Amino acid sequence: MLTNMARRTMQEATFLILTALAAGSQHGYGIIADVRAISGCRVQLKAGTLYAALERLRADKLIEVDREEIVDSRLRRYYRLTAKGGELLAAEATRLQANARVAMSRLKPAGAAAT
Amino acid sequence: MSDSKGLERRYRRLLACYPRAFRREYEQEILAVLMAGADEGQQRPRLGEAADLISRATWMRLRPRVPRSQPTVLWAVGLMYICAALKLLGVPILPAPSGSTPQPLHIGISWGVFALLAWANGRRYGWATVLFGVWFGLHTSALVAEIAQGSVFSAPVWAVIGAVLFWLVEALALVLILSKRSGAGYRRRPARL
Repeated sequence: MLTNMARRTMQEATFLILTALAAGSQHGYGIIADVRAISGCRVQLKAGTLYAALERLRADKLIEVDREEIVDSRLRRYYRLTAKGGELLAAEATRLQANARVAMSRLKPAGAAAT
Repeated sequence: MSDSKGLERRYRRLLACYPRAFRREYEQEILAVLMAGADEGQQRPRLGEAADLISRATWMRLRPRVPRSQPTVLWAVGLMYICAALKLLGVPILPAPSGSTPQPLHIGISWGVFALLAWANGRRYGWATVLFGVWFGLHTSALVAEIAQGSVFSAPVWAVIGAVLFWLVEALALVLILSKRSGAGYRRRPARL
């Protein structure tokens, strides 16, 4: 069952973070790079914003820690989507897709009329 | 190498703004991300990066720790922060007579009280609810006394409107905090971050 969060509009940063984790587990810097790629360099997450979101998503049990590694004597923690997170992301993607479909269908006649 | 050490030290200083529990969990990780994203030879955190870290850390310290299932507490805390903001803008709690100017010390104390009440109620401390009730009682009796003495009629209209607005916001916050939905939250101990 989806939480209150599902009923509210998901912020774009949250949507992109969950999308980045949908293909597999990633660490913080990997998520930042993936979000930049997914959004066509439009969204550049900053570290403070990313970790505030990761903390909230962990508290909401939408993501969880997959594994931890030490690379160059620094902690690298990998996060993955939970089943609940996947369900929420799918619901949000469906909602956005439906909205986009309506927008495109309404734009088509206007475009046709102009040509 | 010395540049990298200096940059890391500066990042650590910024990360010290975060609450201790958050730092314990994420500091090493955030530091690794910040260092990985730094340019070659970069000596200082970028302005946008520093602003992002400081603003997130400030919000983490001030934000209410209330579950989403208790929106009434969240609304009440929001109203208390509105009171603190109104006080900073110089809106009087009581209708001040014409010509009187708000004292910075008085504004500072009132702002501090509202900020403390908002912060503590956001952490669901039982004493904070009691203190807010006492504050509201004192404010109401002072307002009634002003009306009884007739001094409210010599005050400028904006001061009367400001004082009434203040009282209404406080009253709404108190009703929300004492509502049945908020009550469940106050019986629990505040959650540690």
